[in-house]
Amino acid sequence: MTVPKEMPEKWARAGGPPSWSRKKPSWGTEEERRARANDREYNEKFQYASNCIKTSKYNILTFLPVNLFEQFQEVANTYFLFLLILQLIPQISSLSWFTTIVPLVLVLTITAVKDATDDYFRHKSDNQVNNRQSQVLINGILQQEQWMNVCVGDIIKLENNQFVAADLLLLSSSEPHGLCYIETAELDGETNMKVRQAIPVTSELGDISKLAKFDGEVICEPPNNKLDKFSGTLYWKENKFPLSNQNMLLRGCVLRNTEWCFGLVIFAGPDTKLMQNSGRTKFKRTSIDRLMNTLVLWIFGFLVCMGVILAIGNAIWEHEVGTRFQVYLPWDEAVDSAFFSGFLSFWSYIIILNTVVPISLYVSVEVIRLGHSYFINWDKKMFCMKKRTPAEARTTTLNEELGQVEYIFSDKTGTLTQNIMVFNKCSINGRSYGDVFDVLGHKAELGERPEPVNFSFNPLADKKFLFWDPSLLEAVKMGDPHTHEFFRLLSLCHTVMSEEKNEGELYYKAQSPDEGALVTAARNFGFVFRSRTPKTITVHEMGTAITYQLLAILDFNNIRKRMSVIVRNPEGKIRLYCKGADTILLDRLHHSTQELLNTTTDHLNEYAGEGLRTLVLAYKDLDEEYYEEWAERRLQASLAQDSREDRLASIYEEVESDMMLLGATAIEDKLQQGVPETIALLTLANIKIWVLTGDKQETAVNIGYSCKMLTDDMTEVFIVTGHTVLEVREELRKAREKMMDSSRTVGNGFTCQEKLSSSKLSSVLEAVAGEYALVINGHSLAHALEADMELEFLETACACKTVICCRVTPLQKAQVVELVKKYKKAVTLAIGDGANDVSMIKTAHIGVGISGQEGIQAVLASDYSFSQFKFLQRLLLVHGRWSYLRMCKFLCYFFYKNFAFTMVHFWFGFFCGFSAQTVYDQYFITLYNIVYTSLPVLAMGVFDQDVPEQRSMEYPKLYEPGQLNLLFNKREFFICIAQGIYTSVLMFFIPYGVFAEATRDDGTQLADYQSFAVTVATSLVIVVSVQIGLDTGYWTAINHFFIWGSLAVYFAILFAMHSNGLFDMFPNQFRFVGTLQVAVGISSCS
Amino acid sequence: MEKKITDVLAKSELKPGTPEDLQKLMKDYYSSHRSVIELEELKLPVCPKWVKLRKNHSEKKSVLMLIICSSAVRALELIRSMTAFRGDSKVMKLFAKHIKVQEQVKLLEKRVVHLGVGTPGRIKELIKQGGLNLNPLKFLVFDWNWRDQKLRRMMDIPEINYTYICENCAKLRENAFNFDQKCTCSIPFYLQENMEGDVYMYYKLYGFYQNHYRYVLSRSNNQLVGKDIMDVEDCAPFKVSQNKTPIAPCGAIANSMFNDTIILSYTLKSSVHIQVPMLKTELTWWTDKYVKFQNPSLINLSDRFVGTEKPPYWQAPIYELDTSDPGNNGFLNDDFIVWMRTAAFPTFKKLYRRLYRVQYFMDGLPAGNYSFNISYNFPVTRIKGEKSVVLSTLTWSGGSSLFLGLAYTVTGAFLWLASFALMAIHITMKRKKLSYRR
Repeated sequence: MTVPKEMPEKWARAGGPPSWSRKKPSWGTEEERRARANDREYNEKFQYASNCIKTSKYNILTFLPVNLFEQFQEVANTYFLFLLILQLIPQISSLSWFTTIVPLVLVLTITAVKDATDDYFRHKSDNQVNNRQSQVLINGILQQEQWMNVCVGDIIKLENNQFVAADLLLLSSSEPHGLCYIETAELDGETNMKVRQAIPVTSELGDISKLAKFDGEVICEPPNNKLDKFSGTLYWKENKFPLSNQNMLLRGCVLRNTEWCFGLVIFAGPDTKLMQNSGRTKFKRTSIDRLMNTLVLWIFGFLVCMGVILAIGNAIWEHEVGTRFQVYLPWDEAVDSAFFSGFLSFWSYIIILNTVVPISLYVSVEVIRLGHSYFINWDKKMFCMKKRTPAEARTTTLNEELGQVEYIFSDKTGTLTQNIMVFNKCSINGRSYGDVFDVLGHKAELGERPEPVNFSFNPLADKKFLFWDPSLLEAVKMGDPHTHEFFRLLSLCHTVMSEEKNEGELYYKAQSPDEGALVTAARNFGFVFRSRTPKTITVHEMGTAITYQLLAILDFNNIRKRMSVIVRNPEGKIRLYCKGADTILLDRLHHSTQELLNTTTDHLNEYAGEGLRTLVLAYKDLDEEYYEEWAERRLQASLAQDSREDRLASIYEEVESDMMLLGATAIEDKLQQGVPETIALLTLANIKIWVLTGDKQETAVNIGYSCKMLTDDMTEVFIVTGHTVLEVREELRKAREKMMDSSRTVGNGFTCQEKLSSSKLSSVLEAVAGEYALVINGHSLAHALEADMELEFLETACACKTVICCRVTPLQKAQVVELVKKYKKAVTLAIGDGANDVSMIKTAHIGVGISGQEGIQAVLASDYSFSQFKFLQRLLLVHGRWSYLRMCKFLCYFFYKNFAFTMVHFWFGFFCGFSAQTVYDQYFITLYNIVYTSLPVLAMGVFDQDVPEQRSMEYPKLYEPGQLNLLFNKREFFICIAQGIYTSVLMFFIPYGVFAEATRDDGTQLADYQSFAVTVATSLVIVVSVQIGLDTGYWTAINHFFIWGSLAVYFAILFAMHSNGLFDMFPNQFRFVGTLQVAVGISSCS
Repeated sequence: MEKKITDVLAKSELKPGTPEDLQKLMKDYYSSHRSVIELEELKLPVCPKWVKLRKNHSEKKSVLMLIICSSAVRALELIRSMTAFRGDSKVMKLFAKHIKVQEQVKLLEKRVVHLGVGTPGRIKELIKQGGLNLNPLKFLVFDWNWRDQKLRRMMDIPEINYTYICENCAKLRENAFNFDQKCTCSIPFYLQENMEGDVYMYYKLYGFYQNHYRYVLSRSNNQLVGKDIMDVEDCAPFKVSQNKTPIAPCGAIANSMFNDTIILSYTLKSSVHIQVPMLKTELTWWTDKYVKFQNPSLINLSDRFVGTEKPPYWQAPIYELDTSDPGNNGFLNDDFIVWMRTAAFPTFKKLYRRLYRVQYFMDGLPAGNYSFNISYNFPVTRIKGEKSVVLSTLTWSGGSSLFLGLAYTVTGAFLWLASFALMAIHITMKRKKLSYRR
């Protein structure tokens, strides 16, 4: 790790930039980017993307072809297009072309209109963005230019509160040392301010004349989507300067607290990190979706079968009867044999019977899901008053899966807990502070605390900060050097930004809340962090302002789990302050602190046992030469283009060793409101909750207890902490054996066979008696997730009621989810709030983001978001359950109504010589699915409820049918189909029986085709309307309106179609004149 | 409910036919006596000296026992049920369905047959053609009290299937070249009871696919409503004649119009036959007659059809369908309109005439001897179809159907049963629940 990778030659060469060698960089992938300031001609050679962004997909000319092309990529649409083409062949066409084209065009139009409006707004926002004004330095003069005319290599001027137009290299700013502040809310959702700093050589380029002469060339990495990384080099005046993310202003940020700044455009338009990040996330499908697709395929198979049967029937009929009937009806010219006629009638019947899979199915499903999503968005009970954030369904296609969740994977921090950090306890030089004692010297219980410590001596203290142990303040006032050093560290070692609007009114903007809590604590105990520049930090120590020279920040990341600062105090001593996770830091202490380490470790364990987050603080004195040498190496490493991270890490590692222990801090992580209740309720609903957290075991277990996931009633809590494969395997095996033993004794002498196959094992474990919990550590989990052990782990874990994985990395979180997804075939839901949960959220079937405090990456990656964990119960037990129920009812009914509708043709085939004669009027066929029966079922799909919401919260068992997939599966599907076919049999044969013999009251015959058609159609519409009435469990005004309205519309259209007027105008199209009056008359009589 | 013979029978008490009935009928009709054997007795070997008779029987073209029943289906059923009785005696089917007369004659000539089972029409035809000699006949059995699905006995049938009765006509029509040869046929029948009220005469076709997809489409409403006589766009395959002139009325439906004439005559006394007066108008729906079908002009109809040709199978052009009544001529001809309203099923009946209630027929058709005089034009044997003529009365509510009544009754009964079952389940479950609570 420490050996740097060989540097490419061009980077090693000092001095001016290497000459331009590649010819057409824009072709093929870009390997590196070169941009020379104030030299448009040079930069044009590379043909970099301009700053004009285009998120819109179409323009007026391309809209129709492109949109249609996209829409026809959907199988359903292509299928209907295929049908349409079939219908245009006159020999095959058994239905007029409009029966398919009307619904198809309707569906295409609706989608196209939706796309067009979306695109219109995109155009609008594009235009708005592209036409924003910015000041560009052209030929030594600042000119107003539109954003879209800004090019790579231009120098632009930004003013306070302006949006950054492109990814810029910060050259200089109004603030000293080329500092500037930005807000990155649009980029990553974090609302705190961040500092960016120009490299020292350019920060002097304050005025325009100097800038106009600036001709540095930047060579850097090609465009990518990593928001927090940038590596490049500036070549200027025969020197090269390393560039990092600290020097960049990314598009989408807003300049704050800075009067103006100048920047060099590096990436423009689509190459910017913002645009590179705007890719769509992976499209998730629900299990019902997949089932539906399978069923639709089956139905196609069924359709083909029916087509074949009828085609064979046709061939036989044509051979036996049709040849004779040619006297009255000669064959078509194209038809020369009964066989060929059968072949044609196969296609004709495919056209007629295609309504078993109507185009409206897909549209209706989408509409219903959209409706459900709006219900979630509009739910006042999921609206957080405090943060004024509503719940949001960011994906509209997953709602019904919310009703089938079996496993919830939850992050701890910010999800179960509030992520509001309170400085609660600390251990300084072996003494623990922060415990509250009452008068008698016992630890006081919550709620009967004495007065909090009075910080009135300190005018800069934060009034909201509360601390109950006065001894710590006394120690500070006494001038205990350890305590002072402790708080000095807290006031120096951080990345918090301060803002002082008026004298004494300090506001801290911290990237992580625990950092804020620590700095605030130091502030109240008299070590007030006041301001920072890139090179200095000013602290008021017990009333006197002291400015420390900031030599280096060794920043925090997930691997290092620590951060350090190297400062030079006014006396000139260089000291490294470090704070970090105990596991990491305790290994890097000087061996002389062993005794202190032991007491501190005891304190740490105590704190962790109370569910507090702990950090260990340490310092180290550095001598001048060592520092100089180290700083040089650091500079070298930071210049490296490849594996810069690794090199820096090893250099940091070197300096952060043999440190002296100062103490430890304990921060209370407050539980969110209603978390234990929610977890209890979800557990009752047979949902298994696994907590996956990066926290250490003690904290995690503690949170487990406070959330009531772990209780004292549990038979046993297994803790797996093995470091090797064998240990982990052994521990898992023991856990299983214990569970088996107890189930054996419980099962009244039920003896297990010794040799159980793994599948049998799991089934035995499923039925384990007693409640168990499993706590597994990160390194054990790494072994447990290996291919040969994952099944064992899964079986053990699934037999337990509660699973807590602690010390897990984001990748492991995703792996655990993937494991359950793979073997359990259960619906998984991952809920989290931070960037470390993104992988898990994306892996799970459903990802839920908590719109909390750690930024919104998780929310951006999620399918649903809300601000409180407790809303999860409502999302699952109410919305999810209803969505699932509604979708199942909808699908059942939909298949039912279409089979009832279509199969009538099949029966009629046996009576009309298999000639593909339809039973109904073709207008009826056209309108049946889109007008007569679509809205009532849609209303049911959107509004139906089986039990009111209170009931589904009171009886969580009601959630189980969804998990077991009981409401819509292949069996249910066949029942629906059978009911549909049964209805079609009645629908056909009862009128057949009636019509065959009956006559009207004036003696005219009744069994004419048109009366029959109208009678069957009318009874069908009535029957399916009655059926939807029976299926509807929850009547709203809209249900009534749609059902009665559909019937009314049916009769209205029928009267219109059968009216004399239309017939007079188009006698060839409207043949059914007068039929209704006759048919209705008959139906009422007989 | 419609009232026809079936219904009269259905309503009146279903007494089994007695020998007295038959004797009375025979006396009325033939005035000579024959013996009758009940069907039940046939099943038992009670027939005296049957074995001996059978052994002695050696004459061809004759049978020892002739069983006459109402339909071919019934004949087959009887043959099946007689297995025990007939032993190894030869049985022959003597009905018309799917068997040609010539074949039957040949078969009878070839072998000795003891038992003949058949329908009256074919037996009559065989006797007429000399294929069957009645002299050796010892037993004549009438399948007298068996009722078919519609509860009709052999003697009751108001529907007369004349496809094969008028066999020579059928044969004639099978050859398309004989289209201009006239063929008539008379079918006598006996009406047992009075048919009171309005009596309707229908023709009924079997196996005629008026609902075939291409058949249904093959018409031009534009032409039929008189808007554009020359519009034959949708009429394939009968759009234009061989010399390319458009056909009026065009299309397969119009071309295949039913063109038999059926005249009902009543035998007043033994030798006095009078024609029963029938009306040929108001057979259609109002909308059909007044909206859907219009003549291009009221006067000089033939002039308006200049430039068109009659459909190939028609004997007369459209404007000569009924020259006596201008309101019933051309596209407005009721028979034509009735035909143009295509049927839903391959078996259908269409209204042909209404009884004109005057003179003897003031109250309907009196019981007695009638005959249908049919000019047999419409070929059905070529498509293996059949045709018959039906007489029927109506009640106030129009046509009846036994089916619907049955369907309602069955469903109703089922629902009653189901509700009782559910009630029982409910009560038992309720009790259980209560006991559980205690």
